[in-house]
Amino acid sequence: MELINIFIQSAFIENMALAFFLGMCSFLAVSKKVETAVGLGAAVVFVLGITTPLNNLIYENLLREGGLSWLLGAEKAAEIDLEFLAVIAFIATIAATVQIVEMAIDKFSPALYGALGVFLPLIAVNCAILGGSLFMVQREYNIAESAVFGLGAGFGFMLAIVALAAIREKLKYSNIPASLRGLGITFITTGLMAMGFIIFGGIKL
Amino acid sequence: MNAETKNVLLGPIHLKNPITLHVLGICSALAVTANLETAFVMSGALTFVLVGSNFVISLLRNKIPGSIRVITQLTIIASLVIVTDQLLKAYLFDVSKQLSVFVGLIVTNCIVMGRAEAFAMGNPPGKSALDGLGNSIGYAVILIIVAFFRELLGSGKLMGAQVLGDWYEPNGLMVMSPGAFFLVGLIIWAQRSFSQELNENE
Amino acid sequence: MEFSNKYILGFALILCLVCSLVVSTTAVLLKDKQEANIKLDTQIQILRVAGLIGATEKPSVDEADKLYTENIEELSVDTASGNILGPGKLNSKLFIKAVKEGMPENYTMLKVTTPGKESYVFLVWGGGLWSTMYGYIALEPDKNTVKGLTFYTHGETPGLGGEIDSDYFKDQWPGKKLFDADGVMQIDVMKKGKVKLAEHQVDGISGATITSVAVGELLQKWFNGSHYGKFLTSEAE
Repeated sequence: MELINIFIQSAFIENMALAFFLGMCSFLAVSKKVETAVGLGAAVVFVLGITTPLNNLIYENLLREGGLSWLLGAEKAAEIDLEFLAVIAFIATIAATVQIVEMAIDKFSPALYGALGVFLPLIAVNCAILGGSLFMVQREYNIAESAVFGLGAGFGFMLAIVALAAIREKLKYSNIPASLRGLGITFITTGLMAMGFIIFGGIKL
Repeated sequence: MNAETKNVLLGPIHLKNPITLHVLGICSALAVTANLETAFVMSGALTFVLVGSNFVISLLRNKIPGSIRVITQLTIIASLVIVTDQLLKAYLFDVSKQLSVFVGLIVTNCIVMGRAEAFAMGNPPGKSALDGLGNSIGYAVILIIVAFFRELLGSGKLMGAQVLGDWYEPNGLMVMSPGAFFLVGLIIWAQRSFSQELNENE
Repeated sequence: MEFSNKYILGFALILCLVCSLVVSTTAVLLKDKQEANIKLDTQIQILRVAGLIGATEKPSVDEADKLYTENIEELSVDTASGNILGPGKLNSKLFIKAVKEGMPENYTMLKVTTPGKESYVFLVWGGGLWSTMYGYIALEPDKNTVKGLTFYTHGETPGLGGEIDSDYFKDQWPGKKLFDADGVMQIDVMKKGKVKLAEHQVDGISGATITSVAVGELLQKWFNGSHYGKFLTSEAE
């Protein structure tokens, strides 16, 4: 089924972090411990799963050429093209969503809120989230596809960051040259992981 | 140039490099470095946005209410990015096609947000603009080094022109993501071996 | 520093106003230039695949427009019968969007009318490894022999799948036939070195199996009976 294909494709074959290099900053900064990595990963899945279809609605019904047909009628709407506002509209949606999610989590599960800490607001500027929406536009997904794509991309990101955290925890016991310790070896490890994920490219869906 | 200006402008090239030290702006550094041309254009686009946003945010730094600080910065940055994207689509169409979504992603480029928070909010406009310029140069240096090797080893070309002859079998890995990761890792290794004080201590 | 609510609201409003003015002004001022770029790009791609300009020639906006309007006719074709309905208008964006819901009842095809260089040009696309590859294919007047195939946009891996833009891949297409003598679709891209039917098959790109296979598949899809195929088998010209 097409939707399952999109999920598998966005989670494994076109992994946000390992193939498209999105969300790298938090990917590298938060992958020191598995616990925090899981927390960040879960938050990313959540936010991507909500904002991608939401932005799809905004794009389809407000921004793109002719999108406003439900309000102004097809002819008048065809002349209005607000696509150039996409970036700013998406980032506003994402920031607002993250703010609301933050407040909701704080209200309903203070423990989770404390565990996620500062990462929740940082998700608003995670390129993977905005990237998800921008790719959705480029590939012209409909709303169901956007939702699946968002969830799949988030899941893939979570997979990658948890795996990297697990490896980094183990690496603490290795004897790494001083100048390679920390950031250097993390990049090389990520490169090897990326090689591993490339094998998924051979899957025929 | 006085010592302080020099520090602000040239510091980010090595000792305070945004990518290899502060771990900012990694995403685009890896994504657009498959060839030199896109690396150059991306560096140019980032410079425009970073200098502009640092300057504007610094101008307004005492007038921005704390409660809407982040969204204000984002709005200013996003506006600059959209203008950059529009200019690219109008005047550098072919390259803009290659950069695709990554110009839009400059909005979430941690360097821009990072410098806005860390520098522009607490420094005068002129100096902030310089800081923006310095960080852009540091960013550009890394991008160009990575792109140089990725294009050369990955397809035997530089700036689209064939440099290595038919004897060279292009290394596909260089053009794909692992190559980029390895290269940055090696650059970090080289940089820190040169300046031991940059090493991380567990 | 304490800011009153009134100030915060006022600040936010002015910020929005200024930013939207700057952004909108830029967008509106540059819109014409951007559309001209897209139009020029499309025309150059089509002129190239039709063999009317060289592979690396870059005519100016006016030159390209002149060449295009003088040599190319945009025709509307009925999908089900393959008959030509009359003049059409090529709007790739709308067409691509429409096809997502299923092949429309009619589509626009381009007919190159230059004496000695007549051909039919079709817009084709299909999913590759990383991206959707969009291109134009030109067919000789016999509606079976390929004149040229060029992908004007794709996001395949540079150096691997991206080599569909290379000369060695593109040069293989002129002369290949879509269908064999029995009318069976035979056009395909094979693994490099495994070509059996030289008249119909093309060598793929080493290390880029998925992209290569995708090219063959998209051609087979676009020229089947439910897409452009009926025009090829009809009497229409």
